[in-house]
Amino acid sequence: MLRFIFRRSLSSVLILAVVSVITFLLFFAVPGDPGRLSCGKICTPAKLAEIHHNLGLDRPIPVQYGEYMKGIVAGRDVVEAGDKQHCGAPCFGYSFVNHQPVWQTFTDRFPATLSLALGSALMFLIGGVSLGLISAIYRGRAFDKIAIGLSLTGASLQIYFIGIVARAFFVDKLQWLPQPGYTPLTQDPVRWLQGLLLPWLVLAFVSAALYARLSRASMVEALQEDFVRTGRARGLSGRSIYLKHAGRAAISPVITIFGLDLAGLLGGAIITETVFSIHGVGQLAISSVFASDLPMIMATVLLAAVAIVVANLVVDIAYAFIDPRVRIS
Amino acid sequence: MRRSTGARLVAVGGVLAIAATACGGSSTGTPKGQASPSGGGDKASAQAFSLDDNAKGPAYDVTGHTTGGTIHLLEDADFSHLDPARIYVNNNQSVALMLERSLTQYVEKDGKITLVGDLATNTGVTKDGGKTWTYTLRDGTKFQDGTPIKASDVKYAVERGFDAAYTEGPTYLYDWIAGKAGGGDFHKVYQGPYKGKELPDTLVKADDAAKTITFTFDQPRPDMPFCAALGSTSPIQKAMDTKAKYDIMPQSTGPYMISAHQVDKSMTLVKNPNWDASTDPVRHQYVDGFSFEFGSDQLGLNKRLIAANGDDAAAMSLTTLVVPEVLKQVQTTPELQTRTVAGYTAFVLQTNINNTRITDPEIRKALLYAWPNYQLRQLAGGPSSGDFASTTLSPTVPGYEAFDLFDQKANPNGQPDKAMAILKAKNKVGMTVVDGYSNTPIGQQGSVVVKAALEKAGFKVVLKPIDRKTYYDVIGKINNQLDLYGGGWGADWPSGSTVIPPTLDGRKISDGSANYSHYKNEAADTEMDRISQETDLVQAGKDWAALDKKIMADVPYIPRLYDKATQVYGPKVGGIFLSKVLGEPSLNGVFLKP
Repeated sequence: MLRFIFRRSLSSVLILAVVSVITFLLFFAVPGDPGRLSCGKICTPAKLAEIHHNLGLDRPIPVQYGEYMKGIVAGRDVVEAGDKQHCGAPCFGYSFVNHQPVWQTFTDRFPATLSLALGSALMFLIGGVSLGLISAIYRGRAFDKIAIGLSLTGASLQIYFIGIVARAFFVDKLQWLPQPGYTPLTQDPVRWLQGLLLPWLVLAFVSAALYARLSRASMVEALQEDFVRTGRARGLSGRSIYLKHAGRAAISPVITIFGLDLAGLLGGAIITETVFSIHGVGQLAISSVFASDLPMIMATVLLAAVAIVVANLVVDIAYAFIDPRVRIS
Repeated sequence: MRRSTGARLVAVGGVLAIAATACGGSSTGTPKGQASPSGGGDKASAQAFSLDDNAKGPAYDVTGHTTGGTIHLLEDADFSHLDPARIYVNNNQSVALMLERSLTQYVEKDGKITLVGDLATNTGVTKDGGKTWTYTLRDGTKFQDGTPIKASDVKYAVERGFDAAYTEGPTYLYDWIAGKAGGGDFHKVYQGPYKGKELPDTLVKADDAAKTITFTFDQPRPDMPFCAALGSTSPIQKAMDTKAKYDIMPQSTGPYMISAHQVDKSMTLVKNPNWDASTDPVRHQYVDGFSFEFGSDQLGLNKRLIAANGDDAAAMSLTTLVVPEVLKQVQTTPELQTRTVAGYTAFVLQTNINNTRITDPEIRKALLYAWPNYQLRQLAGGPSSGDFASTTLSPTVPGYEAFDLFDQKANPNGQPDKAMAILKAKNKVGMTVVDGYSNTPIGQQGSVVVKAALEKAGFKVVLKPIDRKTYYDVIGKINNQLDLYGGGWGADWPSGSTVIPPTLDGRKISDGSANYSHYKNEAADTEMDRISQETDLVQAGKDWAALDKKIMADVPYIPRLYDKATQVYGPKVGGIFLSKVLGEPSLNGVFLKP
């Protein structure tokens, strides 16, 4: 097992290195000049060159890349507005736009994304899987049809539609909830919950369908397996069969998808964050792309990639624990 | 000034489009809302302007004002800069008005603008026609930590602006100080205080005992009273200069100071206990504070301002314009009309004609006649986005004269017959012109309209899409291979001197210059030099307007719209007006209605 983890970790680092190179090169390949942001109203080539120098963009791309990656591992000195400062590891540089340390901005934004991701993931996992499992047990009956129909409705709607409608209805019209947004849990738990409830519900509503359908299909398949029939023949209770035996087998594919989904959310739920004005990583990522903010783009892309890679690793390990068949093979 | 990022307007290929441009920022693509009668939708008329060298604090009382409470500001983005040396965009200037005093400042009352001494006792004293300017600081002015403001703090702030790291702000003062010795690059004369040297007294002399600061230029700079209202003259304590961090938390000299600033998320202003109303003829301190919230989309902010629930009843915005999605609601709801503010910004939007490629003024006139101004304005949001323009100067500029040499206002759909007649007379029917437009949805729609209109008038049009992000880089090249391309310009202070010389001086044609049309007329250049030396600023205003008329006869470009802003605010906000100087709602004098 340890060897497996070690091997997977090594390949993960390689993947991250490839992602970083591609992102860096793509930035310089697409149009847009970050120097323009600081160039004032009359932007002469000489002034632009001066700004490029200030930003370190006048050096060869491999040198810039090397220095950037060195900063992440070992830290580096950064000159910001003429002021030389040491930027400790992991140093993702200073933003071209708000001129703040990128790592500081990222860690500042991450709790919002984490709250959004964990809350909604919990909801759509529990909600979706429960719906799916129960539907499988009551296959073909009214509950099954209603539950699957409802979840399909959720999957057909988009967050940018249902989110705006829900906000207009529950916040602006009925005023049941305050304006959505993120308040740190440590600062005001009640406001944290109130501000995130609607984003959680909306995100869970549109995501749960997949889990309901997936877990329903797996459960239906598992219930037809020989071991279930054997269990029944040996007189096991329905509860034991559903939860301990069939349920466990059915949940494996769900775990795979869930791991990736959660990692994707941790990398930033761009649309949800935008619709509900949550200052998270997703919003940060999209605004940095629009503003040609290279250090910020690199940080958001790399850290999202880390989330995906780590989630994959965790899923693989979790698999072994949940499904005994994986361990045997 | 420049407009804030979210709301910056750029006429692109003749079409209004909000673009990430020189001043950067995100593109939201928001044409603007309907002008409201309650907001005093301005009619183009001469701007009432004067100088008052005897103004003293406190500022005039706003009728019906209360004191106390907090005003909430809903903004799509954080302020790009708060360091006075780095401020150029108008929403930054709006908040800086509450935080950072400069040597002079504008008092806006009942639609009239008066330039007064702010930290200084008057708008500046010159005895040699504008080459030497002396400012005497008022007694009793302090920084937020209680330290008295000294003349040397102003000098230090000016010196700081010379540092190569601060590239964002206006450079007028630094260019003037460097003069001919700089040869166009003020860094050649001085590199800023961090390199260990001071600006020599022969250029800027601060006398802390006499409380005076004297600027000596190598040629007359009669506009110094205006220039001194920019952030370039806002004092900074050397001991408190946190360099890059100063941009996030500057020391206050105004009625409010920053108590907390979470970049891109929120900022809180509270009363500055060391500000003394009796020293300030401009500012008010009615509310206890301002609470800024950054990072929502413009549609969401509009909905909040309209719904006005909870704290939003006391909310307003500097940059959130009424967006098309809620335009009809705002236009047809009487209650919303009572809480709408509207008016001109300093911007005039135009379509540049490349004068180096289209050298014949008659052909340029034909293009102007053929131009489909009305349809393009409809695409941009209709009448609320602006009034049809016929001059290079905006109605917000003192001295503005509302001439219309080619009957543009009466014929917003264009006069294709006249265009065709010119082309026939010149034997140029079927002449090819290249129209460059920003490759945005609105830019694409506009290009179709332009092509149809110009071809109806006898031109053959080649359309050339330009990436939104590099639009200004492309059109700013002298050899841009284009004939027509949109742009816009706003005065940096209420004078033609920051409109006509930067955008129409033939000697300034170069890559990246603001003379995007490459207009060159030696007689006009000479006249620009003459008016720039005019010490009677009111007379100068008239002279700029007269020159505007002469230049327009050459059709350097096609004036399109006098830009307008329309915004909704919460029902509890009182004392709000659209600043003619800044082109957005002013924070100065707002209060909470009981």
